[in-house]
Order: sequence, then structure tokens, then C-alpha cells
Amino acid sequence: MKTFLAQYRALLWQAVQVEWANAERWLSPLLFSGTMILLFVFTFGTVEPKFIPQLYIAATFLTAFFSLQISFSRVLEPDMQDRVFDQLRTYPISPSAWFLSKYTIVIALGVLILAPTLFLSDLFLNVSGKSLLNGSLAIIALMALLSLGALGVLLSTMMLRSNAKQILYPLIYFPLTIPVLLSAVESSHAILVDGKDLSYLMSSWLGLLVIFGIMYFTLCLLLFGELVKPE
Amino acid sequence: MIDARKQDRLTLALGIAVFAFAGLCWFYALKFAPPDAAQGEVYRIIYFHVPSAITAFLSSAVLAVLSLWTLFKRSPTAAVWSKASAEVGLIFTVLTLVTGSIWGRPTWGVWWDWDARLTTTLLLALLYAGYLIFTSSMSPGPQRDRMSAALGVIIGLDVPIIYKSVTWWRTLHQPPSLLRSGGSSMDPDMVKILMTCLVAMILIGAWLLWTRSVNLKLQASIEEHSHSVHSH
Amino acid sequence: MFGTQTDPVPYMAAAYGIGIFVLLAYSGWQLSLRKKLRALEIAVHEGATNR
Repeated sequence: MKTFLAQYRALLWQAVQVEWANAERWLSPLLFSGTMILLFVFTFGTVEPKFIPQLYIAATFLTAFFSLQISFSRVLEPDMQDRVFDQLRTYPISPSAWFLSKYTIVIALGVLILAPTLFLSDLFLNVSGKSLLNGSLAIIALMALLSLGALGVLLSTMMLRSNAKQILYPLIYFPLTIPVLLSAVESSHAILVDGKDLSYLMSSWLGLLVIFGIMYFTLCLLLFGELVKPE
Repeated sequence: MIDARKQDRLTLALGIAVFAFAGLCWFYALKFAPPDAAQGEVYRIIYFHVPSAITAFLSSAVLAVLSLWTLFKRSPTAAVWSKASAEVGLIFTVLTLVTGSIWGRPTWGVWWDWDARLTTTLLLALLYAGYLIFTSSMSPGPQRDRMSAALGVIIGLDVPIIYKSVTWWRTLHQPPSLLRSGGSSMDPDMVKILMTCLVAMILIGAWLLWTRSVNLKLQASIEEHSHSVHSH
Repeated sequence: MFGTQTDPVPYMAAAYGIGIFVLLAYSGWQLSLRKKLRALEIAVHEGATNR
């Protein structure tokens, strides 16, 4: 256990240093979010007040999805420099520690992208005067992020040596994450439009979101271990 | 080489047999199956559309199993069969979408409907296409086999989850419709014909899978041998 | 119901026609590819034995 934690800390610290050293790595997804939300404002024009919550949910999750997948797809890129990835595979590192360290950094980056996205969407899209932001929505977004992050790390590992990464990542990521997206959108819809609360949703869409999160995390953790095994 | 000739002759003979069987089934379905009370004659597209859909989804299960075999047994043969199953799966998903669309037009007046099964089939087509692009974007070798296998496992295991979540998404938004297939139970004669067409389609799928896998293995072996000849 | 009002024949012909055509075309492609690959296999084998 001690070794596991030491490895996890070391790998996480390495990932944090890499992300922090290059501001572009976390700034560009944020800027992308902002741009996409503005695009929504310009393309939708004036929206009837009753449709604003639906537009808010659609714009937020779509923007978050694309910004997050930019960030997720690059999470292992620093390890490809100087063949660090290949060397790490030969070291006696616990694959779970490695996966968890990448997963943690991906969640941290995800929160860094999601929080401003939720805020900016509310600022630019919501002209009703009453803020749509609330704690329940933040919890739903976080639950979605926990599932999306696991799949993001695994796909990033798979696509490391692919020549068509830029096209493939969204092409494959989107269908695989449909259950998560649907659950998150339906839960948000139930809260903002139907006025339901989290405890009610636990027996439907939010409960599903939690189950999907656990399933994706477990599956991705197991598969990651197989992928990084030396030949 | 004699074994190769025997294998090729067997492939051709089996191919003719499965297509002949399927042809008979479809002919019977078109000519002798009882007409539907609600949809009239056009419902007969079901005898092609539904078997295609089931075969497409079955291919994803086959892909998952073969991918697991590739991952845990490190079998290059299983990797070849996985690629073949994804190709065959893509063909059947496209056929399902096209025939579903053609069936939808005269029945419900629309070329496309966000029905749970069609939506899942569309997503499955994207996944198969992504899988095939992914395998061809990497250099051949054990790494590619392993990465593709991981993707195959995820796709195979995720398909039922996608299907259920899309079904819940659609049923919570739309009231149940008696006009949709499955809204009322089928005549037993229709079910028998449908099951026979399903068997025929699965046999076609299995034959295509086998034929394609042998071709891919042959291709890989030729490439390997031509590299070793040129390197001497 | 639309189905009982519109002529079903063009739709059934299109569905079955496209479906059977695609399956036969793919099968034909695989069988002709097999022939070419066998010929290549022999050529490569002969190239190896002649060395």
C-alpha cells in the first residue's frame, strides 16, 4: 500500500508539473469553451424564455464535452517525449497507480474547464435575470466528469501511436459516452425544467449516472493495466 | 497448396449454400408470409431489416469475445478475426439503417426516426467505423493488436448500455406507440419465417466473417514473407 | 397507416435489392481477393525458394 501511494504521488506530481509548466495545456481548452459558448449565442439568436434552460443544458454539456476531450486526448502526450511511456512500462510500477494518477489530473483539469463553462453559459445564454447555476447541477456535472474522465484516459492510452488521433478520438469517444451524456442531460433537465431534486433523481437518471461512472471506471482501470503491460 | 485449394473450394461451396438458403427464405417471406393487418405488404421488409440488425449487434458481441481472447491470450489470429468481425458488423449496421429508413418512409411517413434501435444502430456504425480506422492508423504488430482489442472490448460491452439508455431516453420523451414494431405481438407464422430469415442472415454473417478472416491472415502472411525475402 | 395507402413494391424492391446487392458485392470482392492472394502467395513462395 505504501509503495502504491508513493508511486501514485510521484506520477501525479510529475503530471501536475507538466501541466503547470505549459499554460497552453489548460488555457486552450478554456478558451475553446468560451468560443463555443459565444458561437451558441450567435447561432441561436433570441430564444424564448421557456427554452433557455434547455439551451443552457445543451450548450453547457456540448461545450464541456468538446473541451474536455481536447484535454483528455493530450493527457499522455508528455509521457511520449523522450520515450518516458515505454520506459515506465518496463518499471515495476503498479498500473493502477499510473491510471489513478492520470485520472486525478484529468479530473482536476476537468473541474478547471467545467466550472467556468457552467458559469459562462449562465452569463451569456441566460437572459432571464435568474441564475440557473445551483449545487445540484454542479454535482451532476461532476458525476458526468468522473465517468468521462475514466474513458478519456483509456482512449488517450489507446490512441498514443495512432496517426489519426485528432479525428478518431471524438469519433469513438462520442458514441461510447452517450449513456453518460444522456443521463447528465436528462438529470439537468429534470432539475432545471421539471423542478425535481437530487434525491428523486437517484432512482432514475442520476442513479444511472452513478452506475455508469462505477462501471466505466472499473472497466478502464482493468483495461489500462492490460494496455501498459510490456510485450 | 492442396489444402489451400480445398479451403477455397469449401469457401465457395458454403457461400453458395448460405446465399441459396437465404434466397429461399426471402422468397418465401415475400411470396407466402401473411400480410400485416396494419402495415399491409410493405412490412415484409422486416424479414431483411430485423435479421440484419440482430446480426449487426451479434457482431459486436463476437468482437468483444475475440478482443478479450486477443488481450489475454495475445493471439494474433484472434486479432485478425476481430478486425473481420468489425467489418462484417459495419456492413450489417449500414444495411439495417438503410432498410430501416426505407421501411420507415411508407410506414410512418419519415425517412428517419429517433427510435431507440435505429439510434443505437447508428452509434454502433460509428463505433465500427472508428474501430476500423483506428486499426488501419497504427503499424501492424502486437501493440496494435492489444490497443484494438481494448477498444473492441469497450465497444462490445458498451453496446447494451447504449441501447438501454437510448431506450429509456426515447420512452420518457415519447408516449408508447402501437404503430411501432413491438407495440403489438406478431402472428406465429410471421415469427417462424422471421426466425428462419434470422438464421439465414447469421449464417451469411458467419460465412463472411470466416472468408474475410482467412483473407486478412493470408494478406498478413504474404506481407511478412515478402519482407523477409527482400531483407535477404 | 401509410403502409396500406402507398404502393409497397418500390420500397420492398429497394430494401431487398440494396441489401442483397451489398451482401453479394462484398462476398464477390472477398472471393476475388482470395484468388489474387493465392496467386501472390505462390509468387512469394517461389521467390523465397529460388534464392
